[in-house]
Amino acid sequence: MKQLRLVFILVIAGIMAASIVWSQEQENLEGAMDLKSREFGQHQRSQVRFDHYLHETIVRCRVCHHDFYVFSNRNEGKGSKCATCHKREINKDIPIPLLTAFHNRCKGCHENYIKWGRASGPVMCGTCHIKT
Amino acid sequence: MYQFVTGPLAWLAFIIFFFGLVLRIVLYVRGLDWKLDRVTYSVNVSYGIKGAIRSIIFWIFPFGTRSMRKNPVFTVMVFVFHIGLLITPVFLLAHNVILEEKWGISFWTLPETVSDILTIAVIVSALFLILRRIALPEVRIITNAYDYLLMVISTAPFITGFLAYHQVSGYEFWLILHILSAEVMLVAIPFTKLSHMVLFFLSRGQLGMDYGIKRGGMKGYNLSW
Repeated sequence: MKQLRLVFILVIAGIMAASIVWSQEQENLEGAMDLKSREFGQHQRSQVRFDHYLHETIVRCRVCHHDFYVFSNRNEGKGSKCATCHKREINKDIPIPLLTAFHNRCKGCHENYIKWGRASGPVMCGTCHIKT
Repeated sequence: MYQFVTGPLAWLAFIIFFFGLVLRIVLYVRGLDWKLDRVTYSVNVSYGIKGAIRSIIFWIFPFGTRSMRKNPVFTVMVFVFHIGLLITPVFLLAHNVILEEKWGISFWTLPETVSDILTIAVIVSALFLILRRIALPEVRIITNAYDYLLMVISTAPFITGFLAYHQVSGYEFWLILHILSAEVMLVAIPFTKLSHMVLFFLSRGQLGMDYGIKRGGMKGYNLSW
């Protein structure tokens, strides 16, 4: 009988632990955003799911968003997007095309972290552009 | 691992590939002997050059030569194989994206569906070329393990690249294997008969000069051999 009670407690504890983990996963998914832009037209590769919450805890906003005061970055649907300045093709004013800007901000940073011997994110094409 | 194969190992492979091929060209040209070859490379140069260009052009387009016309299926397969082999890696979208990020240069790129079809074409035509070596006695007797090894070396990057692109399970393994197999191919090119990548032009040019000057090219110019 005692054993049975132990099993029961363990099962309940297991369910609770799983629900906590699950709810956290749900929370993480809320912070995830699909990186896409109309500037590209039709995307050649599957869209990248980017975990904004995770990155907020690791790097400062301005690492990716330039200067909030100068560029008035996208915030709650207002302000400018990456594609407001970075266009598909390079031009006189903005020498970095949108695709390269995205790639440098993700893969470039991940590569730097690997270079510094720190925990890092994916760098191989298919680890971000996951085929569905 | 990815950092290593795309960093130092890639540099090493490209350096060996490039300088190896330059060395092969230099050694080929230095190995020419007008007395031994009975080709006057430095006399009647204009006829020589004309003959060389003529020969290269006839051999570089499908059905340009008699033996190509005699074996149409083989010709088509060989050209499909070579066109896919050269075009696909150079104009592949993903390769050019990396090139753009690393060095700020990129070529015009193929739509991904087209490069996918070209990759399949390379694999299928390679399979055909292997089967041909097994099926036809006249090529079977001059075929050994070395020939199959070279087919494997030159096709492996396409098979692994295809698997990586379609993200079959074990994506990271296939991508690293893709990069490694391509580096093996680059290194193998100067050391094996894959060096025909450049030596084709030289030997065709050499033969073309021979024909352009001596074997009929200068008929009626009072050239006595």
